[in-house]
Amino acid sequence: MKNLYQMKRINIIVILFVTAGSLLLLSACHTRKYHEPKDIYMPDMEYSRAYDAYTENPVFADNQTSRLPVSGTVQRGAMLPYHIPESDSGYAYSGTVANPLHVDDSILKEGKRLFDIYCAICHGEKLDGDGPLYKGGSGPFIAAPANFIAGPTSTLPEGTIFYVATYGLRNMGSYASQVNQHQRWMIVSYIKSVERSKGISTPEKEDSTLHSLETAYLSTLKGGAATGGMGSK
Amino acid sequence: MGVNSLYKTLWRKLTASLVFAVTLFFFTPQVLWAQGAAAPKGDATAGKTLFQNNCASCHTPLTKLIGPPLQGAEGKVPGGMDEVYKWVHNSSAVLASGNKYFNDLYNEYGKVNMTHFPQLSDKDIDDIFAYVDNFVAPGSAPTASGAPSGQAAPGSSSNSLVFGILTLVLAILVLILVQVNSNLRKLANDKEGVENPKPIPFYRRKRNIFMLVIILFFIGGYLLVDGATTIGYSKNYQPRQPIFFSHKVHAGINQINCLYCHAGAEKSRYAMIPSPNICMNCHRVIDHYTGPAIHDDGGKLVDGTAQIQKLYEYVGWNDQTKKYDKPGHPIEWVQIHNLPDFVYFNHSQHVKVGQIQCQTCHGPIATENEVYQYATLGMGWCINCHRTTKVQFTSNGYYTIFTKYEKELKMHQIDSVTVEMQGGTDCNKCHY
Repeated sequence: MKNLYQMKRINIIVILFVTAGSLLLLSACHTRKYHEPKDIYMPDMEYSRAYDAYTENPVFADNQTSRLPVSGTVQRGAMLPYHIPESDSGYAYSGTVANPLHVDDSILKEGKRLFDIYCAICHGEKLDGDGPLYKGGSGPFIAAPANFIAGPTSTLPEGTIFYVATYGLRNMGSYASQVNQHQRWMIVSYIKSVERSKGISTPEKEDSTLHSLETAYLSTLKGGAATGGMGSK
Repeated sequence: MGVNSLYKTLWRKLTASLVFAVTLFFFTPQVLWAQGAAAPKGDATAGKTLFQNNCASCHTPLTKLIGPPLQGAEGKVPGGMDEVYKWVHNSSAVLASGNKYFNDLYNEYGKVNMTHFPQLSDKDIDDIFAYVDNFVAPGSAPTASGAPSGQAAPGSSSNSLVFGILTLVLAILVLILVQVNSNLRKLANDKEGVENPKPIPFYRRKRNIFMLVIILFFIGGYLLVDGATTIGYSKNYQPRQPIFFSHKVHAGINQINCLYCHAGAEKSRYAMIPSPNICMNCHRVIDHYTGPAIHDDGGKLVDGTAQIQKLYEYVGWNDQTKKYDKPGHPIEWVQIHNLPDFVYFNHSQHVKVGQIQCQTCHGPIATENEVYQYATLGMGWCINCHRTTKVQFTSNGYYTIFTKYEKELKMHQIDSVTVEMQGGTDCNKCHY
């Protein structure tokens, strides 16, 4: 038998081609998707033995490992919990709460970024209530989102916008689980800055109106409407 | 001759009456319908703007939302348009006056007060109803448009079929040529009087066996190395999920930002599987699927509306009463990406600080109906990226501690800082 150096060139070409072809075929198998998990060599190292964020947990009655913060506690560095509970009088009163942030350019920039992610999908990046989900009534979301730069929503006080972002209103859901209080105030600051740039001013309520709103709100609190409103939002 | 002309007149009359009948058939109902619908005698174009600015937050022409559908609603009110005007201008006053029809409606729709619209004139309200009554649902029948994207899935399989047939044809051609070649040689040998060597079957020829051994050596080596280095990798894992959630529809077609649902990706270690309340932000209104047909990776048509109904079942939402009045239970999504317990990974560190795009590790998610694991998530994959990725060093408050690099950057001794230079390949960076 001839050795490798004396092999005909044609044979080497055949070897190369067949090897390359079969390796291509094999690697093609690697891109095939599969639906059942693979056999794992060391399952107890691969899968966490400790309870993880989304694993079931026998310790708690609802079987969930992720917990809400203990009621009545405040995270370090976080804002104090929003004190107004979800109610009609709470909505009316919400406008009296002032924006706690010292608004500067960095807050407005971050507010715009957050608005474009969480709000613009319905309210539109131009704040005109015509986001990609509504598209002037031809989108999948058939209810018209509020228009921030014209009509009644444009003159809502900052505190009320914050209240609506926290609890939702009509067809809008609560955004408390996606954006925290600090972020919500940044978004509100951004909305107001755009409105101001378009010459829309928010009317200030008179002291007597504020007082009557506060009385109405406090009377519902005594009636027990506020139970459970604190903490979780 | 007489019969022929009689036939001709008859034919003409018949055709004329047929044309008349057809014209009548096609035009009459539309004329009648248009007349009937235009009863409030308003301007539908002006009505559209008024409707969208004032009513569309709570009403649609055809479906229940916060309030009842408005198409033909004015016809149901006892007392006619005058009562409707009163209701729109000041709904509370109408309720207080004890109007039975509106009080019943108020109770049916969960006692939600309708906003007062004193600024709308009677003419405006006529315009609104003119628009609403002539409203036709855009693009009904959502599953009817299944054809265009339906061809995509079978296309890829027919491609590989074509390649297979081509390969087979070529292989047969090679065999024939080899046969012809050996026959020709045999004939030539016979003619020149050279003795033909004794035929040996191809599988016993030493040359062929030798070649086979070399080929198998290479393939075996490849399989060994590949198998050994990818133990425990789950690339291309694509589990079936309890709800066929299409990222293509949400992140692709409807342009929803990744962070809208995975809000945790820039705040915490986990990207967050969105809780169903986030789904319901939109799906309390969007109760049926109207986009292009969805196919799973096997090419099977998926009913989008049925998936939304599944969501309603999980969260206990009653689509009729628009309330959460049924028992709900958690959606048990199947985890796709899993890192072993001995590796620490934090989403916020990569998304917020590193400004890494989601697609870098998760692939073209916005084009996928069914998500699969795009990266190996192996250590080599991590390390490679840490070695080559340049951090945004100067504009980032997180890295001010690295004063040496800051100096060197200023002196132009280095032009960039990689993750590795900051200790991004140290063992204890991820294993601790």
